[in-house]
Amino acid sequence: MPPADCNQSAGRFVASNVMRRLSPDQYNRAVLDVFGDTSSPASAFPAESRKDGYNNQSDAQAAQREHVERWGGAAQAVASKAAGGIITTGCAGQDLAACVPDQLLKIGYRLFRRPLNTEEQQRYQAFYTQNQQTGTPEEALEATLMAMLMSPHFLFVIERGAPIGNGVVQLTGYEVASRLSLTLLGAPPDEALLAKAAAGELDTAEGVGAQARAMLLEQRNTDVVRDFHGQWIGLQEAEKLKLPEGTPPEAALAAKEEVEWFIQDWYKTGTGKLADLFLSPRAWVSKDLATIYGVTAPDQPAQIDLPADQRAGLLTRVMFLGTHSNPAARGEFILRQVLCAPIPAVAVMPPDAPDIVGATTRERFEQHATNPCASACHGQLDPVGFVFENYDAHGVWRATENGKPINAATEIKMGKPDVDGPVDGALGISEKLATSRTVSDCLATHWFQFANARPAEPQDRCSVFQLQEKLATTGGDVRELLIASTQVDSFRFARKEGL
Amino acid sequence: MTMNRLATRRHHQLERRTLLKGAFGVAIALPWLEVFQRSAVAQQTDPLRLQIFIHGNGVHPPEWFPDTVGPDYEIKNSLLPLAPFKSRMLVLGDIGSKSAREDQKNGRSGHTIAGAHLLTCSNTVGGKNGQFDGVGYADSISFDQDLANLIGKDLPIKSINTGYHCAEAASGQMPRSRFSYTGPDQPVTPEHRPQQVFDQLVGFAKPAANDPAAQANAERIRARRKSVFDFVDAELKGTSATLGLEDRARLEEYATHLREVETGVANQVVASCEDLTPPGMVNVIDDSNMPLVAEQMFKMTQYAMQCDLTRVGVFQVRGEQSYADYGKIKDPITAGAGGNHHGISHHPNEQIGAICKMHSKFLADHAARLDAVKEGSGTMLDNTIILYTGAIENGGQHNFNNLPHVLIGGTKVLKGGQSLKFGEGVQSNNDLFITLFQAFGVDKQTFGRPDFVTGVLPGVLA
Repeated sequence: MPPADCNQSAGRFVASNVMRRLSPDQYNRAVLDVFGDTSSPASAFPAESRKDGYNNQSDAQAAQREHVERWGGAAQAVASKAAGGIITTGCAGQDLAACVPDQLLKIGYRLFRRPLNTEEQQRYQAFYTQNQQTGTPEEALEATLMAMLMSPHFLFVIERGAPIGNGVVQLTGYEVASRLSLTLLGAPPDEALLAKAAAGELDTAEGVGAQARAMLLEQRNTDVVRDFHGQWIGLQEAEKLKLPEGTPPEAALAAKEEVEWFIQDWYKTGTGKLADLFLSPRAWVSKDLATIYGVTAPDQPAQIDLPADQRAGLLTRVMFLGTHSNPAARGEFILRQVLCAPIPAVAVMPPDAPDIVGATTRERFEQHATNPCASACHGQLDPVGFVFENYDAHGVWRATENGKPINAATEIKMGKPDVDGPVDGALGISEKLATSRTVSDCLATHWFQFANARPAEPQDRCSVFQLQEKLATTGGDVRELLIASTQVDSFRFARKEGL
Repeated sequence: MTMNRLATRRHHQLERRTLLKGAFGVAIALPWLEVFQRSAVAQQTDPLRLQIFIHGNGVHPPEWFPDTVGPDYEIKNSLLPLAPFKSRMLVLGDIGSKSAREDQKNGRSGHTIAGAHLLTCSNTVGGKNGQFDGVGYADSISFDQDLANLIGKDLPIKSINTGYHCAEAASGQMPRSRFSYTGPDQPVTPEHRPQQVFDQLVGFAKPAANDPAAQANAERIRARRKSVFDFVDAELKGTSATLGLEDRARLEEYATHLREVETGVANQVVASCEDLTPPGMVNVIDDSNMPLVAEQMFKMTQYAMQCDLTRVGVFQVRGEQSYADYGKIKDPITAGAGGNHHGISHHPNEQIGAICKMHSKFLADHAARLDAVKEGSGTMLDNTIILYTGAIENGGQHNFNNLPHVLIGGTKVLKGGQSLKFGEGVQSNNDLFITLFQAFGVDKQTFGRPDFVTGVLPGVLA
């Protein structure tokens, strides 16, 4: 049931958000698009802090001293090259007094992702003129471009919108263009999109939706899908992957690339439906990875279908199993990340599962249930994790452990009818999760957070509910989820306290 | 992704590395912050510096803490590499993190909160939606940043925060790998790539004194740069006024740092610094390179301090819950300590003792290099307070009662050459930091959560 008050006549529902800044990738993309600068200067910026599970959260994007130090360096390097190019090539043979101001307007339009207003045009022009009195035109232009590259209108995604009451603003067409492009393509808007904003085509929900749909047909949008699902499945933990003894270290990279390939293939050439994240047997395996999977090793990395009686979607891959190498870690991931279930607080780290000679992993972890200290937190985690007992700590399939047959049957009891009940093995739980509304709702919530650069707040409940409905009613179509996220209040509106 | 696509990507990665290597010339040719005049703050000779070294997953207490107190104590195995500095070293016992202990009572996991508590002595911010472990970063400024605001704000680099394998992706999410904070919920991201530190420092190269044309050119660049800063500063002010409260605060933060950087540029110092050696290409997440990365980071930090570009340095080995494999380091010390560091730490034993001994060796090498630099009547080590510390006591229990704090150097202000114990549960990290503030001549009566402050540690200050 929708929340009772999700009625548009009651106004727009959106929680407050603090402005984002461009990520290093987006910065690199901007100077590439605008100046053709391929030096990726932002790779020298501090790594993005991870907050609430994702590395793009605006709460973690304050301007710190080290950012400012490096913004200066990057701005100078980019401006210096660009100014040289404009003077010696772009404006060659032309009257600089006319050409440079014209260039400044064009560059400012792209960097600020909107036209410069009159006051800004005058200020930047005056700054160029002032610097020209003490230096060459090239030096003056370099200083002016440096100022643009250090401007908050370039570095931050400033949204002022138009007030519609109750502290809520409706974003301008240009602001919507930035959101669309940054959210769906991971890059600042191009000329064509800015032109659509100028023409008023992004002023209505219908216009924005049509544009989003068109953009998602573009090939490069897979970057965002791969980034989001990659962080969701925990690719940032890839370094924890421990390979079986004797496996070449390159296999770790292959395991990570397999998941990236999987997501891209699933979205681009597969169904792009949630269920197949858990069910698709398609894989991209290197020779070493094939050995771990126990399939015939190809000479060159190749696409194969993994054995259907042993493997299904992402949860049965080396990457997930090898970075979550025991029942507690595997169970915790399913509860936290796939089901959005509350995780029991861990007061004191329990002792490790005891070493019992000849016991199976499950038998060792079952000791947690009898130890009151350990069962406090392991009591919920381990049983879910036991379904993965057919894989060892590296993700290698096993039918027995220490001569005993594997028992991968368990019962889930978390008060959710669509997941509760007996389940046997990783294939069993994958099938259950693939059709679960709880899982679908959880993924929609995660996407809301990723797309809005902040976790959902109570004021976002209508937006979140609409996304959950869309994902469920389209049979788990993630492309439709992405498009729907441009249609809810949180996308075209913003709450700005004290404005 | 086709096969080709994968192959191209690998090729591209290689190519970028090669390019970076070849970029030294560019980095040197385009310094964006040149060295000019000596400022009042920088004219102080032989300034006192702070270097913090943090290692995670706790220690093996019997191999760390001396059995006795006073000057005639026996150095235990994990600290043996530091023996040459015994007369200038303080091994502290019984100092706990009271704030972490309190936070743990809220049912939070030891590793996750430990990092945020070590240098802040405060609280952790709740994770926003409770989905991710319910733990956020620290809610207040850390000691190193608080001190840097007092002694380093007007230097070109406020503090130099580096580490081995400590990037976000490397050590996972959450506060377990973030120790330094500029303010509530604002972790400092330590730099784990030696090349990036080098590029930053090399930007401070100054034009040769015997080249007046280069000097004049540099002066023009400086003037132009100042005009850019002033322009951006004005734009920040103008823009802030049109924004909502949260957005305004964000731009005001930018403006504050912009003015600091501008002052730092003006205050750059002509000092006699040794040439900086480019670190070269290193796989910075391969544990066999840990000693090399530590050495490079320490050498560059030393350079920055010798040139008075900064006075505060923090170096961390990964973070809490580090998964490093010390078996990959070809050194007899850790020959028997292979495997997952975090896994081993749950049952602290001789392997943990050996891992800590390895860390002590990294630090001893650094201390020896500092001690080789004469400064005034002593050496650079005498003018540097090194705090060697970790966020938890013992990886088996994830406890915070007796944290492994060691002080080295700072001989003019610290009473080195002793083992001290302060009595169980009496003193806290808060007290350690107000003591260190005093050592830096800053009379601060409180730090972190005021209810956990007892007072200056007795017997530590000279």
